[in-house]
Amino acid sequence: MKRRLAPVLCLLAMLVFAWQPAPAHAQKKDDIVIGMLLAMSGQGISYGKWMSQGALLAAEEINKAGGIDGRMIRVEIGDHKSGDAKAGASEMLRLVNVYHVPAVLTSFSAPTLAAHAIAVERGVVLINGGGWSPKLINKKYLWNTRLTGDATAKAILQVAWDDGARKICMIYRNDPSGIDTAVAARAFWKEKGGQVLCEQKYDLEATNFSAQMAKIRLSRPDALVTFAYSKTLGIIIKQARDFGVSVPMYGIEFLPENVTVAGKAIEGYKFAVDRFDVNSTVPETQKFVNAYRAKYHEDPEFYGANYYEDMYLVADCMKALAKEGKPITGANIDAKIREIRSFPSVYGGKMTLNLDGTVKKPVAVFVVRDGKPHLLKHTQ
Amino acid sequence: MEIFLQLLANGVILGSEYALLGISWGIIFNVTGTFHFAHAIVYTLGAYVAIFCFATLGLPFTVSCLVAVVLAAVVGMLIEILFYEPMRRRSATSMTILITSLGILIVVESLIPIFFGAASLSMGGVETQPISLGPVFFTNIHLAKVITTWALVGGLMAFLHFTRSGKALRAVGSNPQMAAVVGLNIRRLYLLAFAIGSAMVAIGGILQAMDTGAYYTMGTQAVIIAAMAVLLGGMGSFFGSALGGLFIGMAMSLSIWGLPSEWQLTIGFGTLVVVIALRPRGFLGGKVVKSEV
Repeated sequence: MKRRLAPVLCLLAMLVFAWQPAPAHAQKKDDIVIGMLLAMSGQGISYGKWMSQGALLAAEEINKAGGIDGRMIRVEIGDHKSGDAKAGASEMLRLVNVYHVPAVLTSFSAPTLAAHAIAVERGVVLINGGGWSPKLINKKYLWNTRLTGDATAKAILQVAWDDGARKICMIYRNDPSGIDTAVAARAFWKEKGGQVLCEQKYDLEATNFSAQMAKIRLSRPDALVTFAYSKTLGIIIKQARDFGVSVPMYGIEFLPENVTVAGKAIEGYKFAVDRFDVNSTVPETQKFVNAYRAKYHEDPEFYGANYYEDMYLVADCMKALAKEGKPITGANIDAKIREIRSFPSVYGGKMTLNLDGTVKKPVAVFVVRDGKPHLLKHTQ
Repeated sequence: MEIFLQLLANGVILGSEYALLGISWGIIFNVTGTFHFAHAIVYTLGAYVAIFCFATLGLPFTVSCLVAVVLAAVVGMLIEILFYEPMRRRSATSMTILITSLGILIVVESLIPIFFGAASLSMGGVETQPISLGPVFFTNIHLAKVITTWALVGGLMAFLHFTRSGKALRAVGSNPQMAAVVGLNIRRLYLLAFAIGSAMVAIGGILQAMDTGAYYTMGTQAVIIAAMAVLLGGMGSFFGSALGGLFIGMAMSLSIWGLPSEWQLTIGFGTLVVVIALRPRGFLGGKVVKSEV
């Protein structure tokens, strides 16, 4: 009897796990599904959380305000496992084949590049608000609302140069975000007359950088520049100090959890990022920050801000298409972005997209003091 | 020469970390024959519980570590009692148990961010002190890793060779059928192996959290390294598991003396392939099996 019951119980258990209650605004046939390709697992899961929160908040607001000509927006999230290109391509196929999405908000360079080939083939527009590889520009159907790595790298290298550094070492991830940014950084530094003494790369899941740090220390640079991100950045900064690299450190990323991991070692670290200020008095910023705080009980990172405004960007284009009676397709959204190009921004004012797929946004340089980033300067 | 000495020191630190992973997984694998992927969860749990007790509850550091280690041992035994033992009783194959273990790992790993958040955690309050010996740099945490690992390895070897329970564990690992025939309580000894292995890996997790912080996927790579260490050191050999870990760490560190550092992982796995091709039973596998029989 027990043996006969077992398969039935297993089936029941699977049904219980598979069953999900219908959402408040259950999917209707004419809902518009917008895809997202995010880091929902792995080392960069924090990014996935912030990005999805920003986009979901925007979708909720848009739907409350009547949606796209009465049609509701539904968000479907694919997981690229914190930068795995294969996972990115596979999830992109799922979004395209199962949900027929006209637009996908992507993140991380490698999965965005992997998804891009599918996007071109299937006519889906990609909006990247997180990946920073310079290879993401000049691509059909791909728009970047985050500053590319070469822009922020040049900004921080200028700071290093002004601080008196002439000989640098670089450490970065062995993927497009790291390699392509390093190419631009190397060229910029050499053009200024500086010297790149050594370059160290690391793999996706690396947590031990002792060998890299030994090589960096013995190269005796004036400064260490890193294009690392996620929790890895904190580990790199900590291990640099642990293994005797005492020179100033510069980068193009910062997360609060980096302070948790690096502790005192992160003091004095300077970085350049998209300038988003939660304390800004600009009404658009305050409206977003207050709504985000009310919903998630935490301050938004600039990643949340990017995906919030990315969702609005897509919605604005879809609304314009609906008004003109045109079908909502990836190609039409892409054409509409080309036409409008200037969108309201929670950074304040307008966000202008360039025809090469890059964005014009303010860059800010911060220094970490007492575990908190302090604004040093900002540029456009 | 300067770089060689630093890489050598790095190799000893990394190798010690891997040795602890290897021997903790090895004692479970060598005694029970279980490919215990869920060991990764116990490793992560050790780190998270210690941080929770120390940083959140404000318990003293030693007490926090003790709570984490005891809890890890209990969880290790519970995994054996609730999953592996019933499966073995129903004649499940090693492959089925391996898949179940992998399933436990995936499910529990996915649950961790729900309870503890997705961001990295640290043992706030435990200060890292840099130490330099001439051209060689390391920290007090690295020193603690090396000393703790080899003290634990030494202690475990003494336990296995000089105590009744230890000898019984070796006997079960060597020939479980014969051990049962002579009256050893196999079920109890399996639980003992899980308790010891889990307690040891929790210590590894705590040391890692002190060094680079804790994050919810930290166990996955650790358990792969642990399995590599056991294969390399020799299946059936307890000390070989530690030796295998040390060898992998040294190889990964020293081999990049003249190679780009992104080759580190490739070298680690490449070493395993070469050694296994030349010595399919690993460094000490054959020797120990013969002496046990």
